[in-house]
Amino acid sequence: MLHLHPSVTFDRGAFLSFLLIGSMGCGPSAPSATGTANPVETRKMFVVVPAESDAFPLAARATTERLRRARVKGFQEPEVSKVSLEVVQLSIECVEPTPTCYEAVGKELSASQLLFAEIDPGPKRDQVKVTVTLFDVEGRKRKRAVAKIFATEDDVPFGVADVVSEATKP
Amino acid sequence: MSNKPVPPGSTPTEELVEMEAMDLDEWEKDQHTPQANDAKLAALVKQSAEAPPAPLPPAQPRKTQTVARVVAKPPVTPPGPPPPTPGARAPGAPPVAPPSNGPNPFDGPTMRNAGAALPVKRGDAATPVSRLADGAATPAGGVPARTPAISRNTTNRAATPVGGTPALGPKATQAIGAVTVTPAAPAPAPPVDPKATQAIGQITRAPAAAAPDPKRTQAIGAVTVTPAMGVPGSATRTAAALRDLSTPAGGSLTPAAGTPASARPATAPTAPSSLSSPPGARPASSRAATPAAGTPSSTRPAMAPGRAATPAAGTPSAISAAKPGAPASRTATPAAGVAAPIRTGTVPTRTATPVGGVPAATAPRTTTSVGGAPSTPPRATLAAGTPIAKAATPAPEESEGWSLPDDFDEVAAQEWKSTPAKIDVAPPTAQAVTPVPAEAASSPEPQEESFASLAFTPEPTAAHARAFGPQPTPVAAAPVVAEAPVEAAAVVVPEPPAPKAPAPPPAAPPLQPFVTQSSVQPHSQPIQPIMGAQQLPPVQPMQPAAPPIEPTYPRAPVRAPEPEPVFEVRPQRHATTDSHRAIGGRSKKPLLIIGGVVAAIGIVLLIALTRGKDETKPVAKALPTDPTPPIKEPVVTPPDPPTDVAVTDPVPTDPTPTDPTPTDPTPTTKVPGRVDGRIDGKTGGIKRPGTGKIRGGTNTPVETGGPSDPIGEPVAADKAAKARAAYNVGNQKLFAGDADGAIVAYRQVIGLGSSSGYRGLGLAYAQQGDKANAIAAFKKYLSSSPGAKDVPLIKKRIEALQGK
Repeated sequence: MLHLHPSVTFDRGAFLSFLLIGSMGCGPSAPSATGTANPVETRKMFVVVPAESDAFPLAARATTERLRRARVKGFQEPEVSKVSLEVVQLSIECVEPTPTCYEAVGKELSASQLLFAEIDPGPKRDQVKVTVTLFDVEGRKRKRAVAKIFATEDDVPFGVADVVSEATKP
Repeated sequence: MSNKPVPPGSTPTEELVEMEAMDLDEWEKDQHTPQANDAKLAALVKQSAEAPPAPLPPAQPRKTQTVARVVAKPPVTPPGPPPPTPGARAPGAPPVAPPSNGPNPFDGPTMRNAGAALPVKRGDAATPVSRLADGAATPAGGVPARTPAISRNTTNRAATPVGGTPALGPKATQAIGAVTVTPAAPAPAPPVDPKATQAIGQITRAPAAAAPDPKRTQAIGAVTVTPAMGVPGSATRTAAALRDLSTPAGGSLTPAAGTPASARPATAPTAPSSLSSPPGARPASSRAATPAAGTPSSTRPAMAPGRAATPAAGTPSAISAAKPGAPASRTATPAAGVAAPIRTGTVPTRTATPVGGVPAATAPRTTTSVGGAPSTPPRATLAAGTPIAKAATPAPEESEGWSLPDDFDEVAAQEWKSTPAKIDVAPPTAQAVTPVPAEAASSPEPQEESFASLAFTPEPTAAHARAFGPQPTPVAAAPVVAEAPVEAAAVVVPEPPAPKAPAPPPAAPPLQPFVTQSSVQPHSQPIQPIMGAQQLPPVQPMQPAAPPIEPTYPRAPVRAPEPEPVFEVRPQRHATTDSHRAIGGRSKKPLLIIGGVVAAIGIVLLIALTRGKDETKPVAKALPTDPTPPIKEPVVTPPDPPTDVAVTDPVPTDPTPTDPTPTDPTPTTKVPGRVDGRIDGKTGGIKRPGTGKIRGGTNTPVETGGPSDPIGEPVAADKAAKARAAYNVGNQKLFAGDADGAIVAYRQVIGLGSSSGYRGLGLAYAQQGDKANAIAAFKKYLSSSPGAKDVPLIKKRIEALQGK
């Protein structure tokens, strides 16, 4: 039969091995090829969505400021979205205040925890209702929602901190 | 009167604030403002209106004495026949004051008297100041006998010793609330027996002016005991309860003009209201109580709470009490020119309030016992025969179980001596009760920083960039991966030829060179052409670039010149050995076998290549692996990397219309491959075979359908998908704060015929602050898709942008 010199055999075997290994190594890595390995997405993120209100700009600013300071156990400092909740909802064409839409918003912002506030008029004149919600995007549910009615908009800066802390307390 | 007690110091605004923290009712709940029932009041009035000696229903006075501690004095028979004291108790009543020299009344058994709800009863004791002033009027002058009313029940009893009634003086009046005992001191006589008034709340000591021993008033709440100085037995004993208000002789008392101090009735400082007896009035008590000016035996009018104890002549206090209809007159002027009200600003004032119809509320706590203050006046007034002012003062509440130590009087006396003129105001209760404004309690947490400092400066979030950043492109890489196998196959296939080398069966010796060659040649390569030349011509096309190797083996010398040394021929190592061992010139079988194998491989390769032309995928997969030098170099010598050609070939011929981009010659932008991949992913994995197929180098950017990439025209579905992809890109950029990039992307969307681009455009412009463009974009969106579910929100945004 075929008898090759050992050295030749070795050479060929080595070459083949090298070739094989090299060919494997030269290929793009599977994860990058699929594009699924997005480290940002896998990381747990706590995102704060700034409050927005044309009717109560003062309350919105105060609330946003407090939201930025919020901390949630198990997460690092929050990432503050550049756009408001409504803008995101409009952009993704999911404008209902439902867990589904909030989930979509959270995913769009790559958030696993979403903290946002809604500012609405209160039941009485001059009253302002501030609702702070901590939404679990992965769990697709509101973890906590706290609302408080302030007598006037001017009172919001002095009391919204409690609302935020209540909403984010572990 | 009927006013609800207001927390001290509270203002209407505070009340409003309190409403949140504590309702006013809640506040009042604990105040226990003494109030008297109408029935009780009526009874008291009746009682007081009765003839002095008339026995009073025993229960009535008792009722009022709930808390206050009353010293049951042993009935002391005054030296003289005790004048009928209007305030005198029921026959069996103990209150008869012993003469000044008599035994200390406080030694006797004590009782609890109703909490002195009465405010300081200045006017209570029906101090006959006026009398004093008048001089003649003062009956007591010589009537040392006994100070009549040492109010046990401060209010109800005719505590006011009739002026000149010595009995009064000595006796101590214990009143809870505002009881003022103003014993008129007979001028000369030093008070041997101090009158002690123990009251809960405020104690006002009003030593008679000029009297060596000041009158002492111990009041719990507002009780003023004004021991008459001159009253023999009227050593004032003051129970220092909560507050001591000592009225210095001349001080608080209303000095009747020209009236010796003793003669002057000690006016309870606190309750001006109680003093409100009109001067003209002459209550019997005033007679008795009012020590006549210069009357040594000045009666000490015991200022029962609520009674005008010490009104000097013209002193309203006592008189007012005497006045039936004017009980409530707080404003009652003190004795003419008399400084009776001196003490009034002090705490007792409050306590005094209840008297004469003054609402006990003013000093809710302090006045507790005497609450019946209004009723109090009767006695004093009654003495004069005048019905005591029908003070609407509420009935005194029963005291809350005050108990004073047995040695209370002594201690008080000590204190009194030491600080005769001391005035302490403000019963502790009143202060303690001070309500905290609800706001304070419920006030929001203090802010560390003023709101003004709260600036809305959103932090730049790198996360968004990361989150929304382009994804790695799988497309570019994909072809590379696939290529490897092909190369590997190409390499592997030729390998067998090595053993084939010895194939030439004809002559064993001539095989030598061939074998040598095979061994020399790096495994597979050169052999194939040789074999192909002989047996497998089809293989030839596989490597067109390779120069054909001349089949020289038949005649080739051992060292036959190698055809075209594509590769450098290595030193022929082992050439001989290999050749000998490998072939050995035994048979053709191995060569045939090898040749067959090679042929088969070649066929397979051909088939593969031909198929590859039709199918892009396999080719694309074959592409990925870069032509690694070890593979290509040995196999193919051609200068051009054949793989590129092989890969690109199928593209132009690719009939599939799905991918126009690769053929697009004018890509406007080049985006890193990962972005392209992301877009592909977004669009549902649209394959773009042409995009990543140019493999000029590893770092060569791949053309992609970036924002400016003219996205295809062909299929509507593809168009929509691309629009969607562009829209997503715009969203990502918008969320990342890149409004400009978002606008570009949204414009592409619009260019692709999707109206949602207008919405995104409006949002992006709004984020930029470009209201006009934002409004225009929104309006276009509304016009293009009026039935969208987000129309209300868009309209709202338009209004907001328009500043409506």
